[in-house]
Amino acid sequence: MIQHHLFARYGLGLAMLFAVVCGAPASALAGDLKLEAVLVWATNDPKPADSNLKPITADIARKMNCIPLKYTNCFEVSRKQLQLKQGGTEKAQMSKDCKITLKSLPDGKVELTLIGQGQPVGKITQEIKKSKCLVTGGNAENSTAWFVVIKQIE
Amino acid sequence: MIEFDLQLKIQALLDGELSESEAREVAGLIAANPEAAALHAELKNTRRAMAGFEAGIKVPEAREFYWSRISREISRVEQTNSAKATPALWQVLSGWLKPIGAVAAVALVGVLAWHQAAQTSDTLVTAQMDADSITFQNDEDGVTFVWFTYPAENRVANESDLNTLN
Repeated sequence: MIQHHLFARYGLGLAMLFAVVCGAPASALAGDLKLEAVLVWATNDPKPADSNLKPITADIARKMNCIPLKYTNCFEVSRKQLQLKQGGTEKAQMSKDCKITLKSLPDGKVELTLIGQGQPVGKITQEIKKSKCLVTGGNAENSTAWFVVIKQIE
Repeated sequence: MIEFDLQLKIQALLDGELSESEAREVAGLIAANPEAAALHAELKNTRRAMAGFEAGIKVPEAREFYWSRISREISRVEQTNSAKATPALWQVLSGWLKPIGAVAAVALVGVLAWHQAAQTSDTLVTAQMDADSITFQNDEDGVTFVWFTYPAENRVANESDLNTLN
């Protein structure tokens, strides 16, 4: 009788707490990630006359404006979409010499490996969400720079 | 000094509680024992004296009248208890809302703590990268910026053969 009374008094509350406790990790472990990688070349010089580079899109421009480095002109070199399965690995050739590898980690984060001319440039582990993107960059020739923007699209 | 048992038997004899044979036996003992005879006479006198004071008071109301009052009082108390045993709707809701509210508060604190821990984890995660890098975190716009100092501009970037954008 007492047990029944206690269950009636606290049963629903305990059920809610159980749902919250169980629901939190479930939401943390998202399923597959649809990611987009954009290779950007940035320079303070005008656009080269003999290139067919196209300007970066507005969403990439917004991200580029958030970083502390400012360049006069930013151009989109390539754009790749990757379907990253839970626990899987995806590779993308962003340019002749730039390759990226994205690996889904068990904790829901993504490991990005940047490879330039066959040599690893850097490795980053980061949680990528729609509200949170990753911008990586480095020096290129003649005081220009390269950037790889990784964002979630779905 | 007569025995206590005989004293009790003398008292029982006066009260008419003994059987006929016992009464004869006790009467024999009284006749044979002067102390017992004296006690018997004293108790008999006392009994006679007390009998006049038993007034035999009678109440004007009948026994049924008193019992009906008691019965009504019992019924009233039972009705009061049964009324208390059935709680009102707000009491039932209050009984549920209190534990639910407490659990919800605990859950809210847990979610906030978990969320804060997740944010802290992000900060730590952004530090998990190669040493040749500089990190900039823009929480307002949700941008994590990592600048790789390798290949260094003075060593690699000026070499046209190592341009990763080709």
